[in-house]
Amino acid sequence: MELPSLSSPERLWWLVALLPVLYLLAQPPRPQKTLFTAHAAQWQRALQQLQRRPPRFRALRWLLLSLACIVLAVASAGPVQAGTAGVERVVFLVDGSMSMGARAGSGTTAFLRAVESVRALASRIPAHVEVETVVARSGSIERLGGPFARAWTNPGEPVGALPASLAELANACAREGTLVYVFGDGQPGRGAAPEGVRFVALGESAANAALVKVEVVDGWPLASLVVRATLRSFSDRPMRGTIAWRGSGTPASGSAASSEVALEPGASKTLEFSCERDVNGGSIQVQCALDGDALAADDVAEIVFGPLPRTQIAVQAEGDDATFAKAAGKALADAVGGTVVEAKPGMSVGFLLVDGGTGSLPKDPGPALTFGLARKESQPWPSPLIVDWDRSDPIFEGVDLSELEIAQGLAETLPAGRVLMTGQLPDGSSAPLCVLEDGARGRAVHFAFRLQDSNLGLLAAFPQILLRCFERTQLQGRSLAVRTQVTDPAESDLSKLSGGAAVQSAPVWSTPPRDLAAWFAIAALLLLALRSGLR
Amino acid sequence: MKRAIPASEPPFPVEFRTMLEQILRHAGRVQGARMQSLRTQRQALQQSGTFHGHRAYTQGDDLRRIDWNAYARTGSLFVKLLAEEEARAATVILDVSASMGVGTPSRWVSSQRLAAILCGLSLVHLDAVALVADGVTSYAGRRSVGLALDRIEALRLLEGVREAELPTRGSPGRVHWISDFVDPEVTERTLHRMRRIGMRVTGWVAAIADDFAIEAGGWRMLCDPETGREQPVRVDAELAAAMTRELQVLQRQQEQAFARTGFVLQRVSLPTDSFEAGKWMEAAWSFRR
Repeated sequence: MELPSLSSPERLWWLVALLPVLYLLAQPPRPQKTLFTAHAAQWQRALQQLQRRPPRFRALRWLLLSLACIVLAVASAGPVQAGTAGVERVVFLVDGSMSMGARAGSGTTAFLRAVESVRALASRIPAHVEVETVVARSGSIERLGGPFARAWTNPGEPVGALPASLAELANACAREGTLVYVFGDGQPGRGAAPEGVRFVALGESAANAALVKVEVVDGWPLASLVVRATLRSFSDRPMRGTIAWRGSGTPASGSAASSEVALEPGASKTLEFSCERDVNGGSIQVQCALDGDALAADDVAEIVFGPLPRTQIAVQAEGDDATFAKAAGKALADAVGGTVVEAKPGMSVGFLLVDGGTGSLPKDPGPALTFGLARKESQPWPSPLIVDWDRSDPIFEGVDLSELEIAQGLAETLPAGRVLMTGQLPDGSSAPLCVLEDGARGRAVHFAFRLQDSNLGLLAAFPQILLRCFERTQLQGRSLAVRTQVTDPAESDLSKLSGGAAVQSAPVWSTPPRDLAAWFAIAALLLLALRSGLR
Repeated sequence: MKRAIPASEPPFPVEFRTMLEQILRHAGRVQGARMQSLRTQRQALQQSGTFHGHRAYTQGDDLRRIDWNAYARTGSLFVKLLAEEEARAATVILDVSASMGVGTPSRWVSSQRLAAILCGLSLVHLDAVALVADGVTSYAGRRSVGLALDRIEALRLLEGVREAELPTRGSPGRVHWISDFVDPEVTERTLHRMRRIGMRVTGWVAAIADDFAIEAGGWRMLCDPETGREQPVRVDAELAAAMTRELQVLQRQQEQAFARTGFVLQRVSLPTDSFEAGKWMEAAWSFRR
């Protein structure tokens, strides 16, 4: 029989403190008061009458007291009878990937069967065995413990692909004394089940087709949108059905909102849908419905986009020499699908293009592009030499401005902002030639020279710079996202799922360690009771 | 380590000596009539004295004193010599065993003072007194009262000496035996022996509180000063009551031992808080007997 172990053995030091107490208790009583008497014989007779014997050291009484003290000290040290070896922790690792949600011939999903199995198994596990339920879904691993793991009242839905293979997850959960149940659908390629892990396959093979790829050609800031969806069959028989496009967009001419589709076994087909999207933003859903498709989650994709910028472009140029500005405004309107309007005070437009002139823009004017807007304190800057430009900013990224020549610039005319281009002043110092000013309504790009005073409008990069300035000054730029549950096409392959594996026989559970402190305390009390009966 | 009895107060302070003088003066008038009656009685009972020996008959001797039995055995005439009925000297035996030191205030101090009074009275009214303690010292005359007090004050208790081992010798006649008489059997044997040699004994016990009752008070270390034995005892009410009964039995045994030998035991409680002669005379009225 294995001796009990102590959970707090340091408390045995109490015995050291008890030693002097036991020594003192072993001594006969030494009263402090002395009674000198001439009647010793009378005292003895009185004691005999009362059958009182003089106190004396009784080895057995002392031994019982010592034993009781020792047993009490051991009781305080937390004696524990070790339990028997066996399973002391059970981990239910459940595959929460999308394929677990496939509805095959039985009408239920493998995930629901896994939930029922976990609840049934957990109800049979002894209370002292620790239970943990781990659900691996797309991008998350959910861990439940204690009574929550046993009840698992809110299992959720299977989503996406596994963050790691089940074998790796099972290995991470396994340790000595732990039994790991892995509930999956038997999808191949999930890694070999490690030793000591009970793999329970609950899947059923079924036909399936999935939108395995969705591509978007965005015409931003124009409204044109082209969606290409690739539909793939994971079935050994032909599949037929429809694919539908709906949402915040108007189908372009020649593009139908719904079309028939037929897929050969294992074949892929790419379908294209063109539309004019809603300028206020929205989404377009793509959904296919094929006969015999067991998994609906991979048949849907959604393209979410933001609002288009306002494309009213106001052009303000100085005098009659505004050829470049007007040409630039028209070119920009053509590029972004907008219109050129005449700038008027107090007018609200989507983009303001200014070339030359004197004055200042109102504070936070919104998206704007100015060339050589002079202020009162502006100083002429003859033939500024370009020192450098910011190649990291999207406006000048990949743009060659080495051939830019400026005949006349303005010093001290730019507002504070991020410097995108610097030039050399006549005194040899440098000053900004172009800055980006942030604002609550939009950004503004300011150049320190007029278009007609430079050859910028003649450079090949000018249209690109112009379009980038338009994009850069918009607060809400290009935003588009494709949402689909299909991150791994293999997840949609339900043709080789396996199932029907029964849970093996119940394991040998460990017995919990037994706390013996109460028994030791009772033993100490019994010893003390026995001692009190001895004289 | 053997426990020592706490030191007691000096037995004869100035106040006591002053008071003793008053007692001796006052007691003289009382004792005078008594002594006159004793002389008359002595003359009347001259024929009935205690046999002391024989001497050859000479002419003129009282014929009533001839021992005719001796004449019948020997054929010669002998006259019986009889001791005087009332000797003109007294003996004071003071127990100096260690057990006399118990009590608060100590029995020993009370016994010393009692011995001083008895010696003083004897020196005032008789011819001499013999003080028997650790030895025998004789004093004669009233002027010896101071010497007797000094001797009594100088006495010390003998540790480890039992009462039975103390000397109780003396001359035939009046004997005052001051002791605690803790062993009545030994006391009775000694009294028989003393009676056989013609002593007329009066026993004196200077009573202390512990002679009558014991107070309950938890654990006490009992210590016998004669043997030095110690014993822890839990003195509860039950034991205190039993002990009180034992003390009453002891007192009866002491009185019976004296009664069986024809003697008297006087148990006196001397005042401890005052040296007023009136109180002492009242407490010790038996001195006059």
